Amino acid sequence: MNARVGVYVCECGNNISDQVDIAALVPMLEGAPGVVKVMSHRLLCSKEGQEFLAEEVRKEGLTHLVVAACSPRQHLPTFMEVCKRGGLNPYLMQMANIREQCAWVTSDRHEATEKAARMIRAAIARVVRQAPLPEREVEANPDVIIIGGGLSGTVTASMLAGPERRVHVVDRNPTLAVALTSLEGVETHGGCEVEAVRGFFGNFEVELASKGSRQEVRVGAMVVCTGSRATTLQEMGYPGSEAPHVVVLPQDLEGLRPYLDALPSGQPKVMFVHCAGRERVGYCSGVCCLRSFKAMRWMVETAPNAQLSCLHQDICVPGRDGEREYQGILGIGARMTWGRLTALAQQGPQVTVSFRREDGSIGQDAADLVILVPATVPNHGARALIDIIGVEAGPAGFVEEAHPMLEPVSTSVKGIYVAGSASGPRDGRATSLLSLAAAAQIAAELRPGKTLRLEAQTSQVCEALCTGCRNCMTVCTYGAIEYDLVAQTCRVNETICRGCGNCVAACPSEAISVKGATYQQILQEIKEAVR
Amino acid sequence: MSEAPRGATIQGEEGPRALVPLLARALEKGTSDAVLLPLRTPGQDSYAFVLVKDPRLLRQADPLPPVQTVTGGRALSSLTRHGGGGVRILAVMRPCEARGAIELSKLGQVDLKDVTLITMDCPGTVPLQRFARGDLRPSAVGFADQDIRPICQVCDLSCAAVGDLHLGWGEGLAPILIPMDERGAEALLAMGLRAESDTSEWRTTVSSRSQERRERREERLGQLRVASSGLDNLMVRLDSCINCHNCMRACPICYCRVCAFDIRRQERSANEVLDLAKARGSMRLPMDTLMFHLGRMNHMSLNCVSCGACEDACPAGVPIAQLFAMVSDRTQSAFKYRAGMDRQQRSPLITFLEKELEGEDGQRC
Amino acid sequence: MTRNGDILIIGAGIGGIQASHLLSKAGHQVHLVEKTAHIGGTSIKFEDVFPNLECATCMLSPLEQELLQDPNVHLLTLTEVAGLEGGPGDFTVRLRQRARYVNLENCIGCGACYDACPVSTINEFEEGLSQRKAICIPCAGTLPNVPRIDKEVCIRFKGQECVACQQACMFEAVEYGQEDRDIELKVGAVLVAVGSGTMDVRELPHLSYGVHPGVFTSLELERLNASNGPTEGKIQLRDGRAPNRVALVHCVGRRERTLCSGVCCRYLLKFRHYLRHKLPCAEVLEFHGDLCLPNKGDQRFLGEMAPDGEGLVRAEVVRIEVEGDYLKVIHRRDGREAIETVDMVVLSPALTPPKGATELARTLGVELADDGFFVVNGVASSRPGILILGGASGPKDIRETVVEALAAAGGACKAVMEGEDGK
Repeated sequence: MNARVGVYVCECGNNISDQVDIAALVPMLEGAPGVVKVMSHRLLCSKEGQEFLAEEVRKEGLTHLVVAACSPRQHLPTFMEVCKRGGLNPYLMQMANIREQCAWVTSDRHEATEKAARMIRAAIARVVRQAPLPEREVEANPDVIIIGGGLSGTVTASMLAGPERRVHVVDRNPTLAVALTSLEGVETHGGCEVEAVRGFFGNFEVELASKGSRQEVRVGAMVVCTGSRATTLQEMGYPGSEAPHVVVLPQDLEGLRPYLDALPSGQPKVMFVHCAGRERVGYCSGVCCLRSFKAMRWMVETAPNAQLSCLHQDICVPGRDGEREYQGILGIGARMTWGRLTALAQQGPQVTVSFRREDGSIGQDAADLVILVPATVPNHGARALIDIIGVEAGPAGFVEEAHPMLEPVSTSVKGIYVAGSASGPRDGRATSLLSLAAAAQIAAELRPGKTLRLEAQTSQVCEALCTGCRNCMTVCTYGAIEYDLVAQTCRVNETICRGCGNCVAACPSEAISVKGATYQQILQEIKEAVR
Repeated sequence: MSEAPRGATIQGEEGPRALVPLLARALEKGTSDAVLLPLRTPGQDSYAFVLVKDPRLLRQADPLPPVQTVTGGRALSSLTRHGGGGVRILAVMRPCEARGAIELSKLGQVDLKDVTLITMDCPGTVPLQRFARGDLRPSAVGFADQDIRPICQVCDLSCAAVGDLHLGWGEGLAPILIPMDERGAEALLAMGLRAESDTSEWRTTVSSRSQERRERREERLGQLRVASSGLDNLMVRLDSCINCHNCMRACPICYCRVCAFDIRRQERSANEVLDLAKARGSMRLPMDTLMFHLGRMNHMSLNCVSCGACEDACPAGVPIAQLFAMVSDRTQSAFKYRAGMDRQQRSPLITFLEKELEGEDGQRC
Repeated sequence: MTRNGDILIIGAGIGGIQASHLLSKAGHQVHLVEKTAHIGGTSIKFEDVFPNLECATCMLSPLEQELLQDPNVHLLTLTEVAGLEGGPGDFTVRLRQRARYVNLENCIGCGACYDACPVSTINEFEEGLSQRKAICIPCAGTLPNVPRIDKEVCIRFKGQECVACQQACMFEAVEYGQEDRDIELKVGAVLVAVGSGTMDVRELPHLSYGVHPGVFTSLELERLNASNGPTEGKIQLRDGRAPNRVALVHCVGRRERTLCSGVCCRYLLKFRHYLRHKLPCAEVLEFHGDLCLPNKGDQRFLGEMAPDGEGLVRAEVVRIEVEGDYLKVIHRRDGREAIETVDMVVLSPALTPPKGATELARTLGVELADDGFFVVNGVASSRPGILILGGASGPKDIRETVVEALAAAGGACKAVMEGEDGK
């Protein structure tokens, strides 16, 4: 072997040396294949330790480095930097965690030393089989395409458009809001739909189609702002909902006027029914209770004679002002009844509302006008669009976030973001904030003029072994694997691959492996550890 | 199937040969580009899967030979691995072979897009080695025959209607061709037949046949499980293995270009082998007899269709098909999967379920 | 006027951390100021987070590690803001950093000094459920893994000659000579990420908190359940007994503060999961009002935590009385009072404006609303160039905090570039 492996054991002050007999350990490692130098050091992560190590790499002409110290979680980046400073590819270094995984958990000193020796020999066996991995960069297109020209699309566009970044906004509606079309640096595509998406983060090709014409737009990132809609009477499925005095609460309250004008004189009864459609959709839409309360307040002013009542389930009013609003509504004298709507029936001028109480009993009430507060569902065509662009839909049909808490505006496809109510029911404030968040994320990750740093430890396919079964493609959540129709094998897109290794587990032929964690590397490490 | 299918009674011969004129007509009319089915070989009185364009050659056809040579799935994959190319094929084979083809289609090795699969009730086959040696050479196998292979004797899916068309026949039942899906229905029409006959007699016969086989399968494989429990006992079952890897080569499901067990990485240095011999007292060479079979079970038991090609191919008499059936039944049922039965159900390996193997106590694979 | 691209972030909880990451990625230098000696805020106190019951440490510690190693992030612990002048793109901020008395570079976190210290006091991080030393980290796993000396309890700082910790340290990391210092920075924008507080349930004496060893707050339960907590994960009463019957009480302080804190329904359901695992034989009763489950996956979460509504009691808890070892939960349902006897009660106190909000608002020159939370329009405060994110402007869960953190980071960049903040 032409390898020149240097093995450096850190004493970590007394942390490791207390339990591991360093003096006995060093000679146990000297004979290992490829090893040209073994030394111990008091504290390798210190500034002095790092300088020493970098100098050793240079001085001894080391081809591989093993650092036996603490957890890679703590200092892997540190020692990778040391390699770079010493002129060694950082992927030719292996750490053996003889602190957390040995000294700190083994009570017998002899056992601890023996274990440390095994771990380090295993690291040596592995490191000599590692290959240098280059750090690569790729050019990226800073332009962005936003699908949907509503509130979230407009806010996102306004935050991103600038002299160095072109923003495209696509909407299937031919007429777009002035707030959007008047933005500088924003190119709108009204009356268009997304037909296909190719490429990857930094280099997407999006095909747009409108009546008769096609257009291709090249961008670096995409934002899904397709919004949501109210569930319809038909979808809700309540018997009797076609009754003339039953209406779904519209977005614009002025839409209720014709119904108010038709109310009888005197003290007509107006009932707001919450959670309409909730059983069918299976979730609480979170924003409707407050919407309903706002509507009730409007009603108090617009139709002061009306007797308001409210059939509701659990009232959901999180947020700073929610409880205050709720208490306020209780103060206006509306009759609040807990119940699940089961059926409606127009009986003469009034509508009979049947509902089930929490104890299971059935109740009935009557009103002159019934306003159903509808559940929020994904917008028309959302499903089809999700399939076209390749992001994931959650069980409710909304776009699924990459991580429900930490990545609220990213999707499983790197470079495709989601904002507004496309990812779930939202109120105006939340829509705005999500749009700002998506814009901020893109502004940070796709900077005009900057190249993208790629993950070094990506998967690779051995064409000779690949049978084209495409198992790997099926399990790759990032869409980083393509099927090459000519070679009839799979190929990894190194720009989007994140090196998670799902593909390696799914390949029956062992034709795909992650660089820096190949079968041979791991096998030899294990063999040495248990020898 | 939601409601009981109806079939078309076929006139002519009693058994699967009744299909032959229908296949010939399909070729003549041009409703199919080619037919894939077993033909008697010109020389040695054996059988091979042949892609037939000339309807006259169908005279040599035997849709259900008494012995299984190359399995139908493998024949189909060698044809359509790189896509079916739009060639419309009528492929005739046993249920286990068809199930193999269906599994292969899930693995990207068979393209079923333009293939109409025709399956038929299968009475079983005789062991290939005995047939080849000449000491058991029936011209056909009947449903009452006891000389069929051990794996056939415990096959509860011998009449599984997994094709687009399925032929029910045997034991007094007039041959009835049953369409199992839309493609089958179209093919039937193209053959000039109408699905007007009741299939209840066939269903009853198949049901009792499968039930009997199922019970026998549980009994026999249960006994085998006991007899091979523990690695030592398993090794005894594999006693005569000569590491030829023929079972892997004959298996329709094993489609890897190079088997992981044939790759250089399986080799060990002399010192490693000596170390292991020291630890255990001795070491059988070449190594990896047990490991090869366990590895193969690990890789493909979820897709195993119990076709028995492996046991036919084994020169050393290892009951390998039965061992694999014993394991595959458990691994597949752990994931509520039966290889080749449902074209829409994806292979468990690439199916993610939030909750898997939960509430399964006791029997685990 | 030169526009300074550096950003000041006050508070190193999950909001401050996520904002720092994004700004660093965008090429800005971040000064992350944290009042305590550690980062992570409130979220690191949890074992699991709703609704997917992910391990909180697994979720947070990679982010924390990355932050500590990020050359663009200048972390200043034990630091508070003393004064702020200027406008967007050109702020001058004065910080006061208290001495840690431990050298951050030399210390490797071995913990030898904690063992040596003779002084024990109440551990506030552990909600008072355990003790800590005068030199310590709050609990295993907090980052940075470097202790500090609490001047208030350390006997050396009271005049006694004690060098126990310095002697125990092999790395010369203990430095008694360190001093509090003033730091002046120039930044382009300021993000306030100081989180919310929780109400003191002693304000509601009818709930018997502090009177009976079986009454706990939600944060106390989180620490009991935490594997790195005072009982290593065992949920037990203060006297060590395992409870047989546990009452979870929703909406504590909701009426008094006119505030739905939004997160309690979900975390109380999460507590079902904790209790099911740690005390499989214990019976759990959940006294609730309107269940607040606003997100698309929450209904399913409810179904998993309380299948068929088991254990859910729609009732308002009127008072909790002590009866020897037990607690009587007197609640009102359907207009009538009923009593359930339990041995453990967990209260969900309302979220409040952060401690020190008034001071901070005054120092920064931003407005507070009547309810004591920071005034916001989106994430913009009342003063250009200063943005508020997370619990400081109202109760939030982790998701909403992160959304605001990202939005505020974007707003900060805009403020720096244009001298106006994003709305």
